[in-house]
Amino acid sequence: MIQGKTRIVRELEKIVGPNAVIHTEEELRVYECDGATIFRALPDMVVLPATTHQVAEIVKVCHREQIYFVPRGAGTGLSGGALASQGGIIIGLNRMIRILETDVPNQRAVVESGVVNVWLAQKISGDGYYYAPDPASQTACTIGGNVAENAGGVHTPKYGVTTNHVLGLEVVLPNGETVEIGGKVLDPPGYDLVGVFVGSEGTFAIATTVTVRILHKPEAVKTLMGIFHNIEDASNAVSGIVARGIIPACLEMMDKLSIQAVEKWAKAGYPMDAGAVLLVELDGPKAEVEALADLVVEVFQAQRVREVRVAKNDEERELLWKGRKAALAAMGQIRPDCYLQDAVIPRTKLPIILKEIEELSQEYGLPVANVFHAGDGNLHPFILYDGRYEEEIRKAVELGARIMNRCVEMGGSITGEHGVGLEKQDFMPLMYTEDDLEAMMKVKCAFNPDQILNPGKIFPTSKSCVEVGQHKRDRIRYEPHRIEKEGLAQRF
Amino acid sequence: MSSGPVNQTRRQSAFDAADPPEEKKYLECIHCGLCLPSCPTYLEMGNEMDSPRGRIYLIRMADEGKIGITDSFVKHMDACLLCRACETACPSGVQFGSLMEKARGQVERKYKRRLSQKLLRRFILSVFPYPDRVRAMLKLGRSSQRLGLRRLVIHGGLSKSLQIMEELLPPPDEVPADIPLPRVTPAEGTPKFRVGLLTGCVQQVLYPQVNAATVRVLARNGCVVVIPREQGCCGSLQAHEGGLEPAKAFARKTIDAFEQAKVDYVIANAAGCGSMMKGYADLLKEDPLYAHKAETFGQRVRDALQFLHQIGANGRYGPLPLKVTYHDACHLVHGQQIRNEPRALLRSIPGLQLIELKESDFCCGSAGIYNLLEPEYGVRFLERKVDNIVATGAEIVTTANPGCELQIAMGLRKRNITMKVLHPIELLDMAYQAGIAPRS
Amino acid sequence: MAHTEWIHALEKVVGADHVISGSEAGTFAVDGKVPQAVVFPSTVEETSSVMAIASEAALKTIPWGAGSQMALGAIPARVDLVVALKHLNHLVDHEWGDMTATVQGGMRLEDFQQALGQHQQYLPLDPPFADQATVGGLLATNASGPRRLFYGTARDLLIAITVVHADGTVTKGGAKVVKNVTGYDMNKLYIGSLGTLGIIAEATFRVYSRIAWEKTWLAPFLTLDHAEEAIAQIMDSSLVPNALELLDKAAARRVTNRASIGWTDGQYALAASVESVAEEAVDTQIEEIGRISRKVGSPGGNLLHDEPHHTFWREVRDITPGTNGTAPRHLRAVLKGGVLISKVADAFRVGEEEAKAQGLDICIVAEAGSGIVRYYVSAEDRSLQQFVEGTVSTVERIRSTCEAQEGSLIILEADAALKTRIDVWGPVKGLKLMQGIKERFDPRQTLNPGRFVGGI
Ligand SMILES: Cc1cc2nc3c(=O)[nH]c(=O)nc-3n(C[C@H](O)[C@H](O)[C@H](O)COP(=O)(O)OP(=O)(O)OC[C@H]3O[C@@H](n4cnc5c(N)ncnc54)[C@H](O)[C@@H]3O)c2cc1C
Ligand code: SF4
Ligand code: SF4
Repeated sequence: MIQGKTRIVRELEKIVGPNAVIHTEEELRVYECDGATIFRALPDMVVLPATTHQVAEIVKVCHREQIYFVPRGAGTGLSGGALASQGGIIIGLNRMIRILETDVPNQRAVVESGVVNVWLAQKISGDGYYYAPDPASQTACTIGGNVAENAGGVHTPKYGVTTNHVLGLEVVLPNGETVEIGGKVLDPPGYDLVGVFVGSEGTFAIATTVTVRILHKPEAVKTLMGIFHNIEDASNAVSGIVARGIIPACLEMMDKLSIQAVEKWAKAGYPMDAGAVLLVELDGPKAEVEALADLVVEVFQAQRVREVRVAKNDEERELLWKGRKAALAAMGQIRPDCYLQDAVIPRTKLPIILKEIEELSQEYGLPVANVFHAGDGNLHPFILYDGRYEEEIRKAVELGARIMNRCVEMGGSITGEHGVGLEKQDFMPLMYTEDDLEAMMKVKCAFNPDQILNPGKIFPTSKSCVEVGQHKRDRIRYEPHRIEKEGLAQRF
Repeated sequence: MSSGPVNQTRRQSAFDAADPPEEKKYLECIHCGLCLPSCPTYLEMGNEMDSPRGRIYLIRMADEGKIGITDSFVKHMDACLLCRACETACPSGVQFGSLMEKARGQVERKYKRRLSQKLLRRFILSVFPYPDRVRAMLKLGRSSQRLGLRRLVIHGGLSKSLQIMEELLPPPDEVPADIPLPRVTPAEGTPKFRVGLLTGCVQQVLYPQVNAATVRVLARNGCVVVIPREQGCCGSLQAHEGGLEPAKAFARKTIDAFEQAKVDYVIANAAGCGSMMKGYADLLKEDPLYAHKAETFGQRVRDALQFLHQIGANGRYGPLPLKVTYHDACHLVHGQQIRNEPRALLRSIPGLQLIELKESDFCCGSAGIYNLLEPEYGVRFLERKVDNIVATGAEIVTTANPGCELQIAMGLRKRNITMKVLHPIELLDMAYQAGIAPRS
Repeated sequence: MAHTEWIHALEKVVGADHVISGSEAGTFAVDGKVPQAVVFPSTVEETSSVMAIASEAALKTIPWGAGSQMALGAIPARVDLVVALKHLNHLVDHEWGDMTATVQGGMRLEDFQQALGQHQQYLPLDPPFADQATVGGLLATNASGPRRLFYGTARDLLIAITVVHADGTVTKGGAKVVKNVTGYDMNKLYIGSLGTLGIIAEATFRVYSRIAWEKTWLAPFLTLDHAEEAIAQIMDSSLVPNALELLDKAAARRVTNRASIGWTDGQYALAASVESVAEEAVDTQIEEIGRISRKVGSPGGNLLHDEPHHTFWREVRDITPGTNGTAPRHLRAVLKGGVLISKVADAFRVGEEEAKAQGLDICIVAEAGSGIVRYYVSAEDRSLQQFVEGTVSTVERIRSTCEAQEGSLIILEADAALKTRIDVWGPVKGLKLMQGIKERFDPRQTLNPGRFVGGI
């Protein structure tokens, strides 16, 4: 609880106006979770600034009073990152929604952080440009949230994730200071602050404006769907594509259960009885796209593909993608709740892990649907359960942990795009030693020394910034981590 | 921290047993947030209580007994346009309209509104569903336009709403006198369908020419058009504002009227009415006598433009060299998922240039009687809409719902813009006229 | 710790034959400052122990790859120890099926490329002097080349890293998968940090397959205006060149001469390289680039493929200051500017003007599609002082032009005499945050003190 809440409400109202401070319990409830409803935490207040200046003034109050605060974009995050998990103020950026500049000749755009991802795409589309990171939530999530989570999307195999497209930021530091880092021009001297900021999950500073790279649309785009008898064939096809050196713009896989759920809701013409489908999108110069398409079909055929469909026009293409993008939400149709995992494995390990997930699903008696970014090896097992039963929640969480464990054992990662947040902090030691984590803490402490910004996220244990870096002098030799020694996990 | 898996020990729901928002329906919301930017109130107000996800969450919290039907709960329910843009955006198929109508039903019974608000609602809902009263109101309105009714209003809190009501009414010279339509109009040529037309409460009084045009266009396309005299209001305004019981009564009456008329299709040219009638099944599903009837009835309902597109309207149009834009009425595009049909029909008129309207499916703020109940927000949405309309440079703006027509016309009038507001079917009708007019 | 004591300690870790001191260490001088000793660890563990000793003994320590980029950075405050990584040069693994590979920091890029080549794969980084540079060195300096237009720079290719910190702690960041957001993206922090935060001991990259077809269109232009227009049109199209390089007249003459390409003097050159799995896709794009160039006034053009193509690009990358590469070392400087794509031609103009005003020779080459401009400044027969004065004023002038449009200018290479006169890095945004990071990573200022931005 915040001390002197009424006084602070009044002070904040002076900064942002009375309609922009939310402090009654019913209304605050709405902000108690994000896209991952498994976590809930009631904030003490929500403030909705409209300008960088207002953000800075709010943060100064938080700093002076040492009140915890947490930035929030659209609240589509899937790891509980935007929750005030230790109480405090949520700073909602949904009124900072101006596209400040689109500089087509220089292939840059500058937006306020509350701008919805797809708005930028729409704005520059007429000029023949687009913004590459396109998370499935792009119609809703904010670019600020994308920066914080280093969001991916379906175009990542060829175009990378958010970090590859963000060049500059204006941020408000936890002491209220406004700083610009990076900018429109490449290779600014000094440490790559923008690079470490992207993916810092709202624990460094509040990004208020974002400078991004925009890309010219490709000459040709071709979307193919391979329909396979079973998931092994489909995963072998993925390995085949990667090993051939084909870099598709997108390479997505859906298993049987997801095909059925999605088809029911999106009516995209997916075959209901298929074992798996692969969606491949190729883009670039026309002749290249055609050549690549032939190669892809060859790979498909080598895996006994049942049918290959090629979208003949934009409409058909949209339709194929519509289903894929609706996946998460469509899962709500199978069971009331869904716990979405996000682990990554080296792409050649796909057939093994998918088989194991299927076995785990049977062992726990919970359906698991897989719709994922196969081209990056980024799995999305949707563990479907009914949250009204305590037992099912427990099982779902445990099943998720088993999957993460296996992925790390195969040399992968516990999260590919959704972030650690509240959800996976306890699993950080699977991948990182105490020293590794401490190095990360040091960066955080350079930005957020009092840790009043978004506390209690990412790291498995809380340490004050004074404690960080004060480790024993005798532990400076390289030591394998405990879980590594015990053979629980193998480090990459 | 109250995080982590929650065990829901149920508290007493804030709702009672009469038509509460259904748990099954709100549980379909997986809190993904994809609906947020489609919601006009969220975009305008920038807070999540006024977003679809937030409203569903509030409904859920109320049902779980965690919050009551308090002032702020009601505030956020009231602020919803029920435009159902969120349903279009929702990949999980959440039936938001049903949830909201039912939540409002609970609010109407369980929440004590300020007297002035109560009177206003009662007044509006006792006028609009009845054509005769609307006619009377129109007369009164006209005289008030002369006399300045506003000064006579004692309740200060209502003056804004009444002012809007006054302004909304078209100037006297723009409303044609009543156009009597025959009970049965024969088809031109061989009859292919027998259809019934819902003439609508507002439509028949304020836009009788739209009904007349609809009848002509349908007849020209091989329809025998029946207008059952027994029909009344479809009940949509009542349902919108949570008056579920009166809405059910209207629904039963409408079903009976068209059943007796023995028609293949029931045609609506007002989006709100069409959307309402298609949804009778949900409204009446607990009614043992009508549940089944409502379902088959709903399957026979078509929007006029949807129907024409579906049967392949004959193309004997004459040219209309006009620049036209089209506003998607919420209850057509979101309520009935009809987006391309009206555009395709307009485009098929030779000479007509259809200019796309930016944010065409963004509510104009009319939203049933929202513009009267929440005048401040209603005007904000209208301003945004008018800005976009003006930017098209069109001469005519079309939309397929009388509420939107009134609202947009008001917005244009206030800015002294002489753009015409028409129902697309009026243009089709004009094009047919142009097609038979002797060429000079 | 006394001198002999720490030398002894080092010898115990790496073996006496892997430590040199005294005059032998002379070739490892940085900006003229000779270290007391040079140590050659062969494993990550040894490197860790070396750093533990260095920090214990408060030695100012400089990591050393191949030494090809040692002229970058400000003059170090002090140099006690050089940690040379040439024995930390193994390929750790190449998961060719996953298209990732892990390499030790001291491995030369060329050796790494050769290993990858066994599976027709490669790392699409082509910095200057790519055949000498070590992987760790090029990461620390964030070196890049023409191909960055399509493939990006190290920040787009590095997926995991192992670092030995100033106190010997070894940490890792990232994972051996192409997509990963577990914890902060530490890879980014170390790239371009010039060894001020830690020694890069291992690096994992995503690698690419070699592409079957690659050709270059080399278009001459009589004026910068025309070249500028061609760049704008190529960039604002769906063409996807993997490199788009603008060369001033001097550079064009040099490079064409060395690559034995027929060339008329006095022309700017715009080179666009295109690759694809399909020859047709290359040819149609080359044709289109040729068409655009001619349309805006290019009087001709050369199609390069196979050997001349490769030679051309190697020569572009490896340009050195001085018309014939004959200028004495101390009369040379290399500057790197970053500008908006639309301002590349302006950046040429100001460089040409100012060099002329100062009587210096200049050669300018730009990665036109990325907005990176390299200036190679030199003089043949001037005093050091005259050269320094002229260059300082050139740097100031270009720097202010770059900064006026949100860019920057750094000195990549110069004699210490020049570095004492002007800040190598120029003004830096977010310096306080950078200092805060350095303070936490290396509180005793052990690594590369004073060489980086703002005195870090
Ligand atoms: C249906 C669905 C599909 C999804 N698909 C994808 C996908 O394909 N790829 C993918 O990567 N993710 C996906 N996500 C996850 C989510 O959309 C992304 O993580 C997104 O980037 C979050 O944006 P947001 O605006 O909703 O941020 P929020 O959820 O509001 O916040 C996320 C985190 O960012 C911080 N934050 C927000 N704004 C700022 C700011 N301005 N400055 C600093 N910190 C800030 C918050 O504190 C929080 O920690 C999906 C989510 C859903 C519901
Ligand atoms: S889009 Fe649908 S499921 Fe998602 S939050 Fe909105 S209503 Fe709920
Ligand atoms: S019906 Fe309209 S106003 Fe209401 S929540 Fe849905 S989108 Fe928003």
